[in-house]
Amino acid sequence: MTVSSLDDQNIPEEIKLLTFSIKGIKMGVDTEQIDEMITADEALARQCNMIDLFEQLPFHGKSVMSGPQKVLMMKESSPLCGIAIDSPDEIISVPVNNIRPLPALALSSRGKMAVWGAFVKNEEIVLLLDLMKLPTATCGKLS
Amino acid sequence: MPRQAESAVNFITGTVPRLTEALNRQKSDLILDKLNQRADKEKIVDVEEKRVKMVIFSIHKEYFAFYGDDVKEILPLTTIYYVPGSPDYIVGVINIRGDIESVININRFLGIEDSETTKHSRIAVAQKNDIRSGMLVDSVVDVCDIPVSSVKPALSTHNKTVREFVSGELLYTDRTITLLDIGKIFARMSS
Repeated sequence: MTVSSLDDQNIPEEIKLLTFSIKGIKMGVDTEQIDEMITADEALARQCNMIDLFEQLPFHGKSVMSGPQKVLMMKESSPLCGIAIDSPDEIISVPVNNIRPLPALALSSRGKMAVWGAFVKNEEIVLLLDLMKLPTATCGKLS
Repeated sequence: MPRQAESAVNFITGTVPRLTEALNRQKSDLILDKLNQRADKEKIVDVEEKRVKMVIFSIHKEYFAFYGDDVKEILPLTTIYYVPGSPDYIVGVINIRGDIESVININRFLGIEDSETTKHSRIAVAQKNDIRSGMLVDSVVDVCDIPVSSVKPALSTHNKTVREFVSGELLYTDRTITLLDIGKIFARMSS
């Protein structure tokens, strides 16, 4: 058995994604990477560590959001980290064949290519975020 | 054979070959004429100067051009989705018939002041050396063929950033147009 056929076996036919918005940008995260979704108040009360997504992936020219509504707690991160989002949208299954790689020129030199792909839903582009590629070293307390 | 009949036969046997010969000559002449004309035309094509396709576009009232062979399509302005963390000169990505393509803000890349998008704004989708991307421009002025000889070496009147990506200049309706090298632009972006 070749390595490539092993890899093929490991690729699911579809991926379950939680879609949400950050500063008006639609994104999706593999639900297997999310431990739980809590409110921002709850995250504050729990003194959760947070990844500053805007530092890792600068949002040039975008207005600062009023405040995170929800926090996605990452699974298997050390230390336990969360990322703030505006609002969750829905959980959907997307066939892997419908996912497109991000064009080479649009790939971030930072954040270890945390935005790794995209798919089109109702003519809109949804960017795929890999939470595991966000550096957790900069995790800090939500303020 | 009576003399009258004999002369009639002589007339026919002598005239028909001559007529046929004349007709054949006419036919061959026609063919030869046609062949010569074709050869002349080919000669004209041979001496005609080679031409090259150009896509002329504007940025901040200044005209620039890309080689037409490098531009795959020109799209009207559509929704551009910002990609967090992408380089400054990337406006975002667009959906082209189900494929995702990046869009470059060529102003920002060349160190030119940002333009406002208008109904004339266009996305020129360029491809060179396996890299493909849209280029946001203020407007596409023309797509035309020009003689190769009208592409001249560029004068160094541009800023240093622009100069690096210029491959020449050309005259278009009395305006000097800067010819940009997409290959060089993409090479710099991917380095």
